[in-house]
Amino acid sequence: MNNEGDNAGDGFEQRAGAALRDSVGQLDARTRSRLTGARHAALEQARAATRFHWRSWAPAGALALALLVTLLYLRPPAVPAPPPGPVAALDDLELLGDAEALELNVGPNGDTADYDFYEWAAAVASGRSGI
Amino acid sequence: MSAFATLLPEDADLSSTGNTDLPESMQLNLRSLEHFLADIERRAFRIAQIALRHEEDAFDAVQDAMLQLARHYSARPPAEWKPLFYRILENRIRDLQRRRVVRARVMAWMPWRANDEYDDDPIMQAPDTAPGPMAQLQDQQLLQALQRALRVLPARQRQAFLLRNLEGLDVAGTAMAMQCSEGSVKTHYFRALRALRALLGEHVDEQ
Repeated sequence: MNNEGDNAGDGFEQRAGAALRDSVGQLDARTRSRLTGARHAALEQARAATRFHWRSWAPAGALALALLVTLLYLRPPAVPAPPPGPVAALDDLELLGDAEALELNVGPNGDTADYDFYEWAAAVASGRSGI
Repeated sequence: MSAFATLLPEDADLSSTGNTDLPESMQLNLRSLEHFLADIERRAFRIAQIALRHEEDAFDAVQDAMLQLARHYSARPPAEWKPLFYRILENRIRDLQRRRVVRARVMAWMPWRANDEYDDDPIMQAPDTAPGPMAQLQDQQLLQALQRALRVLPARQRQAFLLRNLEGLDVAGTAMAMQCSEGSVKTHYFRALRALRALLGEHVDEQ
């Protein structure tokens, strides 16, 4: 900011400010009284708004708090899920590992192998089927 | 809006009535609000009067600002009340100025209507802002010249000057009231000071 002529500016600033503040003190009685009335009207608005909010939200807030406490008190304890056993975990790994082994079950024509038929055929071959 | 105003003694204190059903903290807040408004109302009126050049409009602007602050911002921290109040007041001043412009345009189409109080020269029509005995003629002349000069300043410069010089707001508070940066406040203030010194010439040199 330009500081040129600061001394004259400061003196003028002070005189201007003093003159303006003095003029405030010279407001006539009627204006001062009207301003007082306006102030009280505004305060009455503030009181009404404050009272409304207090009366509206205080009981609702208390009820909400009571409900929250009740829900927390009556909530059934959480039953922790059983941890997965070590065998189940290994089975999962085996399944993942054997995913490619499924391809051996596919026949030359792309159809899946019929294990029941193979077992029966093996039993017949060994004379166990009774046929 | 003027119907709200009633003639009351300046020291009328209604703060203790009708609050007993509220918690103590809210009662304290309302008392603080009353002290704040009592302290600020006259300076606010003077600022509005300088901007609007009309006593009734100035009173309406101040009253509206008080009501809005009380209704919507009384729960804010008290340190914010002053910048908020002057922000609201400036908005009301602008609304009234716009309304006056519209009114003037409408009235221009109705020349058979009697001239109203806004038709006079806006510079020369300065309501008597200092009734009563004059302490010193030089100060009185300075005041009248200052008010005339303030009225020709751009709105932002006038606002910055009055908030800093009359209301005593610091740069940060003025920036909050004017919704601009602190740098902008300093610029507006500096330009206002320079313009006023140029306009008031002889009054600047007097000691």
